[in-house]
Amino acid sequence: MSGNRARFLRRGDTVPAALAGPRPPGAGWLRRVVRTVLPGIVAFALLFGGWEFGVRYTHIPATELVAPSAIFRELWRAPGFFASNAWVTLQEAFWGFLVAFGVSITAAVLVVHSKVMDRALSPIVVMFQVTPILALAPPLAVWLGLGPQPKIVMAALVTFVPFFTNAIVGFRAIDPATYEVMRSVNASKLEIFLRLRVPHSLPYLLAATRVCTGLALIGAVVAEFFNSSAGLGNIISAAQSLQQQNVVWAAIFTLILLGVVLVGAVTVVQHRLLRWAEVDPDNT
Amino acid sequence: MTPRRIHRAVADETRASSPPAGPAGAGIVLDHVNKHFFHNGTAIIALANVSLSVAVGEFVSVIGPSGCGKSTLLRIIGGLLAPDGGRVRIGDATPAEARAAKRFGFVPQTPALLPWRSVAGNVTLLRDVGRLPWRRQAGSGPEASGDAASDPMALLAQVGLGSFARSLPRELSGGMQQRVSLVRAFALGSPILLMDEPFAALDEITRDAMRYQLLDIWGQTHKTVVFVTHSIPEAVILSDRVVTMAARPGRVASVEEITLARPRTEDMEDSEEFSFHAHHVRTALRASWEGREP
Repeated sequence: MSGNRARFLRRGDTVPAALAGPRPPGAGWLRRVVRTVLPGIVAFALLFGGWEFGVRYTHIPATELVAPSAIFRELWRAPGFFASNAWVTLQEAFWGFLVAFGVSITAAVLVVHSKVMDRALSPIVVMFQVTPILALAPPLAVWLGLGPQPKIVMAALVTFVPFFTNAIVGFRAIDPATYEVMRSVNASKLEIFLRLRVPHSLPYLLAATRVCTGLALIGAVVAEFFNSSAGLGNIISAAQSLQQQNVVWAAIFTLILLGVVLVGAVTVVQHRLLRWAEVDPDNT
Repeated sequence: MTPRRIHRAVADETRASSPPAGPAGAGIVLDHVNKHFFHNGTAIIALANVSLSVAVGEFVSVIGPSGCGKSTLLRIIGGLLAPDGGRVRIGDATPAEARAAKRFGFVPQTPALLPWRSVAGNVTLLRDVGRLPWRRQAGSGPEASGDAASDPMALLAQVGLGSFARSLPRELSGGMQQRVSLVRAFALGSPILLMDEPFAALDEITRDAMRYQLLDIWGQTHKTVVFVTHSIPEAVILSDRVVTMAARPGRVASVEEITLARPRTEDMEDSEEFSFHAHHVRTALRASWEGREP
């Protein structure tokens, strides 16, 4: 049975042609796709079906909870409206993400190469880690105003710690024997960084990117709640005050869709760049 | 078969006082080398007055119990550790200068391959070091060592990995990975090879085969080799001389000259001469283990 073989081999394993045996019949791939995708589809159908059924059957008023059908109808009614606001939020999250990436990588390089910097910066990072960062949204809005700046800063603050900690672990995850081999031919610190530390840190940084994609969106949306003129967070807080639950939910669904697409894109990049990695970060 | 004499180079009885006159004297000379480490606040003497010389083109194995300082010795020769006292010369240079000139091919116990580089990419790694893409200088390094004996592809083919040049390390077995590590050191084209128990992590059968693969690629160039090992047969079949070390403090206990003809073959492992040398090394090792002279 082709199914038995699939159970013992993991994706990416190489099988010598002689051992692989006859290829499974043509319908094999279809069965595999159905097997991998079907449980997810069923789970989604049950979730939304149950939601829809519950709302209709129990006659919950639309001011309290809307049915999925109403949410999709809302999205269908004004897709451009949600898309353009999603674009605003996406840009804020993106720039915040980029700022956090740059600052955390720089800080991690300093910490990895200098004990003094390690001792100076680590307490600050711990401080960031224990701060409920989303609580900074109101003061940030007061300080930085209506524009995209407070949202960018918020997205950056939320994503900084995961990036920083992963970058440090990654830069330090080098194999001592490989390090010694590099030293035996007098490789400079710069070269050891570029040839050893950077590639070794990639699995960690990409795992952090996956987590931070969602976090950056959350940061931007929360900042938009407090003082904004556009963005999905703005829509949610405005619609909430007008008691338009279907609009609130449509904005949330747009956010979910955005997150799924972005995380999917990161996953594709992960698989492309990390073919060499023995342990797939997703399968552990 | 005439009995061979065992050289003793304990403490003051230094062999370095009469270093062999190799070409331009470019061998390895250690003269009363000392090294200690601190462990939990107490000093541990890793090497006490170690004197040893290795001639150009000579294959010398260093064998001894754990903690006798043989790995430390290798790292001092390679300029990866600085001695506390004594003198180390690599030809007319210090170890640090020799290291900067890429004169050492280092083979660690684990393959230590870069998992994201193909086999071919790993083999050329050490040549590439010192030549970042934006500072490529003409005529430095690899062109100088671009002779046939250090051609990476030819070497890979010679150890039976010619068709794996584009594979990733994770697709190879442990023995294959260690062969890549060997080829990497040879492909550097350096005159000296430092090997730190390179076959220790392999199973016994693979290990037996690896000896002859090493001898095979070494035979073309006759580089100077310092080979650290735990295995007596391995030391005897590979080496011109076997240096036995004793522990606490780390010191040279005895030196056995191996008179087996070259090229060495697997049949020699069954010969009387081989058993004779192995017996001597084993006796010296046992004595060093028990803390007395053979």
